[in-house]
Amino acid sequence: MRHLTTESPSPGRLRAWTGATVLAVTLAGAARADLGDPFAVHVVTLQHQSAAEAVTLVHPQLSPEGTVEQRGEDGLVVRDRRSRIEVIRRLLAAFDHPARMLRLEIQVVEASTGSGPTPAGRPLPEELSRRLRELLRYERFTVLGDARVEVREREEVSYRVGGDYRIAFRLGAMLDGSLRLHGFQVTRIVDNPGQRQLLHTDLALTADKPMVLGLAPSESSDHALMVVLEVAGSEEED
Amino acid sequence: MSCPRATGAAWEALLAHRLERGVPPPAGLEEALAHLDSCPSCRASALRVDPLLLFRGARSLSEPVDTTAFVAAVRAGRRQRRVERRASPHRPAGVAAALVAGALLLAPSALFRGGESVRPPRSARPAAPVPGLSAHPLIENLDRPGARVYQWGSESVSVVMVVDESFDV
Repeated sequence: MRHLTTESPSPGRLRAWTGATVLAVTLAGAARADLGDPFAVHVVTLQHQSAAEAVTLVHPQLSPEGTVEQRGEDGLVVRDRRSRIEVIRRLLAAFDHPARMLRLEIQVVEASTGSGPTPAGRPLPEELSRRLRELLRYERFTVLGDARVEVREREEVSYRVGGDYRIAFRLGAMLDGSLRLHGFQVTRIVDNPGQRQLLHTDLALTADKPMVLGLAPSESSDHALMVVLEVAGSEEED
Repeated sequence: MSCPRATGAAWEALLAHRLERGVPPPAGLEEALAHLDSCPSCRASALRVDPLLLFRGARSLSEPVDTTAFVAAVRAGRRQRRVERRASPHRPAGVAAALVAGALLLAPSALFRGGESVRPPRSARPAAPVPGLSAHPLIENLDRPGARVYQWGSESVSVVMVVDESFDV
């Protein structure tokens, strides 16, 4: 990959970077620019990752004056102070890596206070069960089904788990141990009318830390459906 | 008059055992939790620290809460955290953990973000990374506008509870 950065007031200076192809033009002398931290425009062409996902990554890093704009499938235009641009440039360089294979574990769990019949399935590992008992009102955690999968970044997948549930999502890119699951869907498969979507959302996971996503009809409900997700931190290069 | 015990710091100390593994429950915890039954201001403070208390099953905690005030209080807490981040970006991780893992009741309307060109209504400083904790929402763009969402995180596990009366689970 080749990466170029041009900065004014020395626009002819070129640097090689490992990351996205970058063209940064500092608008020196712009009316709103501070002398110490001038406003800049940063144009990025991503090589491996999607610009749409990069927008969500860049957004929290912007100053109140900053903006980010998507240009097509792989382009971004970031406008902000030079100090912010530098942070964002490094972030995007780390983000724009070739797709890697990631390992995920998905468990569909029925949580209950223990008052009803025990569903078929194995118990959740004791350490996690104990932690959830400390936090929630539920006493029993039964794994209705699970899947251990390998998924490539940006890949869309759908799994039937535990016979009655379908889990679908599109994997984002792992960055600094964080991973987004886009369009995460939990669907219950029933005989009539066929499928019932329970949830559609985006999730942010941290590597090697389970996320427990619980669905309940009320805070005092005696039971809940839980999806336990965990992504392994080790990543394999393509 | 509000209860003198109704401070975030007091409840953070009382509930620290729920956040950090290996921290034993403090003496007087049961009495303090029982106190929540009769003290709305303490209940609000406790829920700001740990919204999952709602799922512990104490009867008074299971009653409907004043969502408007609760959301406003949580938003105020988030603003306070932003101010503290600006003032002290290198604060101890333990304090950061308590702040970040404290109550984050995300109003569904606040979960929706979109558009390809965005201008953020936030501070210039990026969220300080906290080891093991997410400084950002764990769930976004939820398709159930009427749902109540409770987010909680520690170093060992993240928990997101979505509550919606229409769930058939």
